[in-house]
Amino acid sequence: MRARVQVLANALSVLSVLSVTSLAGCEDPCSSSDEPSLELGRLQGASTFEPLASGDEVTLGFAPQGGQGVFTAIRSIGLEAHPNFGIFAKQVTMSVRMVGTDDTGERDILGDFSIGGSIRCVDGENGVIPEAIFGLEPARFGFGADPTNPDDPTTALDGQTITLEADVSDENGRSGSVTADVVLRIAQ
Amino acid sequence: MNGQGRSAPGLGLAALLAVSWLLPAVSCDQCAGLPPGWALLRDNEPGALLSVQVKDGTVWVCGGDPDGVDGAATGTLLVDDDPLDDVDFTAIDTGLQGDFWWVHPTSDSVAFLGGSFGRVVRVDRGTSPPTIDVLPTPATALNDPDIIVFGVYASTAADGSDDVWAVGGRTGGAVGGFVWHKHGADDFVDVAIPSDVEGYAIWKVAGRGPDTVDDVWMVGTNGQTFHVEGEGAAATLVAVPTGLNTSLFTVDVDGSGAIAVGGLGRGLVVSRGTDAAEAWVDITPDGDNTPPLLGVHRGRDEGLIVGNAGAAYSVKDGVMTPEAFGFAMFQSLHGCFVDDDSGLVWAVGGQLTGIPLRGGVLLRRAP
Repeated sequence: MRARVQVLANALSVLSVLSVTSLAGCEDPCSSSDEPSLELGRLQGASTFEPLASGDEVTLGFAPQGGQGVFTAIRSIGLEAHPNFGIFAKQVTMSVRMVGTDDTGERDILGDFSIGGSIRCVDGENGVIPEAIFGLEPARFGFGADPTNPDDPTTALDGQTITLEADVSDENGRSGSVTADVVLRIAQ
Repeated sequence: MNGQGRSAPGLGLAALLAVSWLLPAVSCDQCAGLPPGWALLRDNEPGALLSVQVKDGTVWVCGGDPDGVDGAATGTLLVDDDPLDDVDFTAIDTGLQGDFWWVHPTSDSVAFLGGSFGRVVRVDRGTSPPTIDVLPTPATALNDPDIIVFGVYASTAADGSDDVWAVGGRTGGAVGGFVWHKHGADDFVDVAIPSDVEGYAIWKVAGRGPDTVDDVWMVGTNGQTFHVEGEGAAATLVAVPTGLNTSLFTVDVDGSGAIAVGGLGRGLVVSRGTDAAEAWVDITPDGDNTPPLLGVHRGRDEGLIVGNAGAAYSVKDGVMTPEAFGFAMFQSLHGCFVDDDSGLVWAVGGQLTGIPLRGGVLLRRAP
């Protein structure tokens, strides 16, 4: 009899642990202990992530309602994401840089910005940062530059191979980095 | 407390439960066949979808030209006359290149469109094929695709004539802001904008309508808002400061006042009542993660706000609550509409980060 009671107690204990685990999972199903890794890409439609491959063309876009930059998305593993969106979403901080090559072959920082964003849970493990925007330094390239003007400094960047570099940290201080060598096109 | 005192709340709860049991049944009768909650009806459409409006049961959606202005494609215009029955949007071929940024229907067959080339287009589905009238505007002769009518609002004046406002600027929003007004059979005319901002665009216009020209508001870059004073040819604009220095992208107006949304790095929501002396009040929820907000519309009991990266919030009693789509939705949402008659809520969006505007998404929430 005592053995049956013990078995029952053990079963209840296991159920209790499972229940707690399950609840914790519901609250934060996108926590991951994996080593953080990131991938740069673009969104197609509602949620399709298309990775950027080396040599892909990216466009410096000029949004009709303001803003310019190379608009990308980042897919992550190992950073804390959240299933919902909005004011309660998990936040990330990002350092995003566009890097070219100067006449002497040295790194030429075209733009270097610290930006915020949110990281969204996709399938219980991966996260997506829907907007990671790489911009050009306003002091050097202007703001709201006109790419149709041949004297505009952005025009010389058309067709150059550049590197997009991003460092991302989640709310818990876990961080990862990613780079992609791409060909920059200036929107006409 | 006596037994009678306790029974009253009990009856109240029972009555409330009964009512709440009945309400979904009524809604479901209206929405037979539609699964409750959000549905992604169109994904990755060729053109981004920018505006959705409902009038007399007909849903109008407009959006981008997937070729910009360089190809054979035209601006997107979709119509569904029976959204409660099924999803059966029909494309209307306007034959016009360039984007349509806003649609404002005045009936189930007539709507005004604003978009590229500084165009305002009147579409009449009462004929076969539909009649497409490109209305003369101050920008018509320029034939410049970068002059954009970002917002249109049409209503009926006291004398029964159409009263149409069109607002916009050059693409990018840094220069070229304009406000045009058309009253009755007259052509659009420029209306002076009382602004001391160096460069700006006017993004959207809305009024209390549809059957009144009362309470017309406009919003633009640098947190600018303008209210229309007077009617017809005598209408003028009055600047009403918000204290903001970032874009307000969309405004909605009803009997309780006006609400506007915007922001570039972070989303903003401001509202005001109907008292002319009342100031705009920032009602953005605390928190640093609200993305730029692009669209807002209020129904009788609920509003919807949408924005970048698939942001969507319902608004009830001044409280914003993130919407849970139930599926992955990261694309920017630009327009929305709460249809009190059908109970359906609509949202549209796509890639808004450069021309061509592509990758349209269309979402619907059923009760």
